[in-house]
Amino acid sequence: MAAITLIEAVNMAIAHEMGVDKEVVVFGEDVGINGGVFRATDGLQEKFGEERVIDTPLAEAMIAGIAIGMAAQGMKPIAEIQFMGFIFPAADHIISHCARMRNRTRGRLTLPMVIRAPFGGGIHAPENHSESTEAIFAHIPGLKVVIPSNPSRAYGLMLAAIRDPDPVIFLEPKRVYRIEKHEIEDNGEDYPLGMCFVDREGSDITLVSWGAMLHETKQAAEKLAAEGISAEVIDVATVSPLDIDTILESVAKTGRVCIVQEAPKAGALGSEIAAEIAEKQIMSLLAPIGRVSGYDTVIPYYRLEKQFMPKVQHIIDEAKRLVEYR
Amino acid sequence: MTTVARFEIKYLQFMDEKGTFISNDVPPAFARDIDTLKQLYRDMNLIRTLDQKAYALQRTGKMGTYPAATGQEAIGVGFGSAMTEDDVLVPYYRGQASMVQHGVKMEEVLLYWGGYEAGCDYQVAKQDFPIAVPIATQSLHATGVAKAMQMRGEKRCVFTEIGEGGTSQGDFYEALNVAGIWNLGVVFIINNNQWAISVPSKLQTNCETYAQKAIAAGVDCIQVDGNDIVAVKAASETAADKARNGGGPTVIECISLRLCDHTTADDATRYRPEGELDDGWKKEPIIRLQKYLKSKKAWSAEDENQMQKELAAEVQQAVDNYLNTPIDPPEAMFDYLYEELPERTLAQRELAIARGAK
Amino acid sequence: MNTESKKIFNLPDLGEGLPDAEIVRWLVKEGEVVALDQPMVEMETAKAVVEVPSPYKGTITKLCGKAGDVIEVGAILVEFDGEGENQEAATATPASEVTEAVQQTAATESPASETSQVSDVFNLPDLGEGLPDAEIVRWLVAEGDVLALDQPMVEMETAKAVVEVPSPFAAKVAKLHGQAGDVIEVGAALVSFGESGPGSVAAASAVDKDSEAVTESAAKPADAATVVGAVQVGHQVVVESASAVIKALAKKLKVDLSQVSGSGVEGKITQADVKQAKKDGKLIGTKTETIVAKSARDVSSAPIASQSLANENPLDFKASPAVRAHALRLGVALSQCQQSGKKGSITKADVDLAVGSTTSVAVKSPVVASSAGLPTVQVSVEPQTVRGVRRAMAMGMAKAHATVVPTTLVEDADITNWPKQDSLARYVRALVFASKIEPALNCWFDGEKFERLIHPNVHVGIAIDSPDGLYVPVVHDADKKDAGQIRARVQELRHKIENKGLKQDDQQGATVTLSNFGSIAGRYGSPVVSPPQVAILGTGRFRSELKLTSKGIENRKMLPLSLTFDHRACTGGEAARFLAAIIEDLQKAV
Repeated sequence: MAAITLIEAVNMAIAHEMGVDKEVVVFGEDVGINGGVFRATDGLQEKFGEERVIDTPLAEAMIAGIAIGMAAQGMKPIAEIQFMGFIFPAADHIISHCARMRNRTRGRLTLPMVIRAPFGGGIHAPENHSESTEAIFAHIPGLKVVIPSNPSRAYGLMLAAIRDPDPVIFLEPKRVYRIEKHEIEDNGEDYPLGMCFVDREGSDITLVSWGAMLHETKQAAEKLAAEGISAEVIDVATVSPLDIDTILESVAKTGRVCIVQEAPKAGALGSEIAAEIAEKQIMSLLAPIGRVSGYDTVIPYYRLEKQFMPKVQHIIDEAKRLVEYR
Repeated sequence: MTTVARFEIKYLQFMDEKGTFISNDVPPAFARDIDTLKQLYRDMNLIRTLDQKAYALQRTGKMGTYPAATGQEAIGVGFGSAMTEDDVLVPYYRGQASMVQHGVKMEEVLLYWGGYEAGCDYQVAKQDFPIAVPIATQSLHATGVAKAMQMRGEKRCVFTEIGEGGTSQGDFYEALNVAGIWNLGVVFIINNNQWAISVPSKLQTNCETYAQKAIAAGVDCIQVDGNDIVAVKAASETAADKARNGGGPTVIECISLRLCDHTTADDATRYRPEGELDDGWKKEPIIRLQKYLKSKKAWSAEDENQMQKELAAEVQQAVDNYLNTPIDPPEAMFDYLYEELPERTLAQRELAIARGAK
Repeated sequence: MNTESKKIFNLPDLGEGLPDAEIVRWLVKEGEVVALDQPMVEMETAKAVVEVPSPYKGTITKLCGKAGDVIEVGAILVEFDGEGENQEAATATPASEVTEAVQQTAATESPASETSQVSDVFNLPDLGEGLPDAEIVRWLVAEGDVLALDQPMVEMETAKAVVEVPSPFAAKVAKLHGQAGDVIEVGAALVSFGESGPGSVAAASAVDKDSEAVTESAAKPADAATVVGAVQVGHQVVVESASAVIKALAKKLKVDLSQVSGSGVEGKITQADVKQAKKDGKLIGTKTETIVAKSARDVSSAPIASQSLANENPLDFKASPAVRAHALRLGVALSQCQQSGKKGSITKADVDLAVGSTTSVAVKSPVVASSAGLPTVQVSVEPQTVRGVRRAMAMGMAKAHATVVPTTLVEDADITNWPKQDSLARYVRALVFASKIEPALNCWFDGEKFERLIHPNVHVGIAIDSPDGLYVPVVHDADKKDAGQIRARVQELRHKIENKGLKQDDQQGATVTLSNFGSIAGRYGSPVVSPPQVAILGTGRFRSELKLTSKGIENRKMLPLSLTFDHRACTGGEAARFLAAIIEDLQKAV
């Protein structure tokens, strides 16, 4: 058992699976000798060799395209896009091909591949390195989008993603890459995809989040508890396909819900969750569905980033507003 | 079988690492003008000083991630000095040498990397593009600018820079292709500093030269010693003149070596082979030109000293201006999104102001 | 005083890892001579107001900010003019050795030399990544060296990378506070500077030559890097609860966790247990259609009607937000409402009907830490607004009165030969019987359009009295029901009324109405016809009566009947025939 960070957990999961499955291959920019700019693939090239851990030329569309070709041949590529801000050259391949291959060949060609990328803001980075655009891929049928919120989930969900027969976009919230450690046994046990995790049980309000914002959400839940408000905290984890049932059950229990996301408000995953709740659980609602999110603006350069990112206090304020709603 | 096409790539160098003019080619006029060379020398030192100050700022918590251009100053200063005010620069993220040459203020460079959008609001270089973070996208933007110039019949050209790693991107090939077929006045500078973060040049392409990627697009190209500012400037002037006068695009590959980390957050010791830095420092552009100037008895220790003092003061002034710049108020996130902010978003603007005031 | 001698003091990390602080007020003025450690300024961080002492003895030349300004850690806070030897920046660097110049450009660049006093201490700054400390890898300078501004002094290893820390002064190193391997906290002393001296630069350059070799042979750092920005590093080990994952897995595999025994440590259920349970078929039962609302707090188990309103949990009831808001506005408790909406939900009409039956409001609110008082009892002699069922009755009767032309026929039925039986079911049957014989009374009449609809079926509305008021639910298709079914239906309706479960459907479509006021009191009456119906039968109280028959005087059991009909729609003859048929059917024994 080792106490490791989220990024180390990603590394451990990939190393584990590469050790048991020869078809698993890792490639991307700077993933080999450098071990990845965040060290996600640290030590893998030493362990598994240059043939299975490959430094590619600087071309994201190529990275996605190659992954598709390899996966169609039955390999299990794990392609890294260095930052989500640079996934867009690959978006054509992801949307036009990854998402569709099984469907258009009626199951003849399937793509058991993972494209992983660090995403999200809060690290004082230059522009294009802080985006939360998971909604773009969550909107595409045929893709799975998974976002771990802590080291244990990073390990379990990454294993699940590698083993999944369909393309998985694995988005790692870089802000919390090293923020805490979990004791994780490298036992190869994967976590179920397509399920929410109820991280904290509560009775007065449901707080739904994913990725790095789970940390703020849990902090908010603690503070709310001290004021007599019992919050249930749900980690969505698999953003697509969404396990809405767990969220609906929770809303049935509490009657109030607030969705917390780093991404801008409009057209985001929070919008989808809110619509589902309004459609399927309206009889349980005692208050409007709340959303705490980034603004509908370009995420600013890092001097103003603090103003953009949702804070613990915003979550607390919104939760109280909903609890006191008449 | 017959041969239907051949190609050859020419390499241009005037001044070797000892500061000696070795080329059989006649050096361009500017190379025989000591004052011009001194100015170029000064301009390269300015960038080096700026980069080092930026690193010091980052190490003391006053600057975000910053990519220095150490060892590559001759490229940006060289081609930047071939540009006129009317020309447009479409730089890449390591482009401060050319940007400052072309009128971008040093404090604007610092502001950008220091996390202020104001850093892109160039006060002087008003038509230049801000740097492009998504790699190679700038190449296509440059072709667009050149197309506008062409359509208006203007005698202007566009310079754009890219790292050798960036030339692997599809956007680069697409830019070359359209520049070739439309005969656009773009000069594509490839800064081949041999490293794309940790990926060495030999893992990036099977081409013997990066310049020859131009051949595939039917575009003229040349390879130069990127540490020889005379060669860089000479090739750039030729290409610029051609581009301004309807002669079309050129690719200039400048071979250099990255003598610093990729950025302040990188640690090149993880992947750089032993001895490469030592070797590289011997060939770097500033010392080379200095040697030449001294060989002409045109540069003394006092000159060096005086220049360094002045450059430090200039850089410090820029640093002071940067450090004294106030952070934008929260409404700045909203006020430059559209000509008119959509009503739906007005409420968010108010909320941001209210939250920011706390 | 040499105007060129200048020292700057940067805002250090005030020990809390915070990035900046706000000037509250200056305790000194420009031009003032301060002593070492004399408090200079009050700074407010996010956590506290702290005094920052002067690091030097000297004259303050510049205060870099005014009260209210926010200063970042590492930014210049105060400028001093030092006492003691002043030194022009020595510029003896051989210009040819440019490689050194790279490392120590500051040596030849300083616009003004900076001297230092004994005990100028330079504290380890925040190395730009919010990290709390760093380890000294190796010193690039030695005690006694005279450094130039920005000259690299030391390599520090953070959690991410090895970084060089440049000298903040052109001054002589008096003391190095630690050796290679020591961990220094941000804000702690790193280097102390003493007086500067001649030959400083040469000494520095000699050192710098060595420092170049440093990067090559530096120990491989154990880093946790990035290539842009700064990723926050924490060392806290968090215990991850596995139960969330087990529950999620069980849910996905549809395994019933209550049937699973744990094989893990202390009986914990493991993933393997769950997967095995799936194989063993220990699955969740039939999936409920709707996600059942369950209150998470204890709710009294008493029937809803008698539940204390203070304990009522709104989530025990299904109602849309609009209905809940409506109930709230009208002061209606959800527990007092019928549930006539889809799948047992409360509709707006249900709320309207329930108005007036309670004056309390039920709101599910969290238990806030405050004492609960006794509910206030309202004593009022003010007029009550008539709402709900009573209001519906008032409006309905007024409308009937305004349109119907009522005529009442009365007669008795001799039910002496009746065995014990449900009289209500007999009344319904009688109405059915009569409707077949004289259908004119089983119809709907429209007095404006002059239309009438004679019904082929008989839907009997039955007036039922309840604490809330008068309800008239309907036994539909009474002509198709036998006595047992009629009885069952009436029971069902009574039950629904009791439980506030009466639906709209239950109350619509009556073709003729029965008012059994006799179950309480009354012989004959003139019950009100409810348009568009045209007839209503009132059944009075049974009585014994001595009757003169052909066999002599007998004790007969009589049932009084009153038939009111709308004379716009029916003739007297039709009504009489209808009544005769009712009597005929009622007088049968079974």
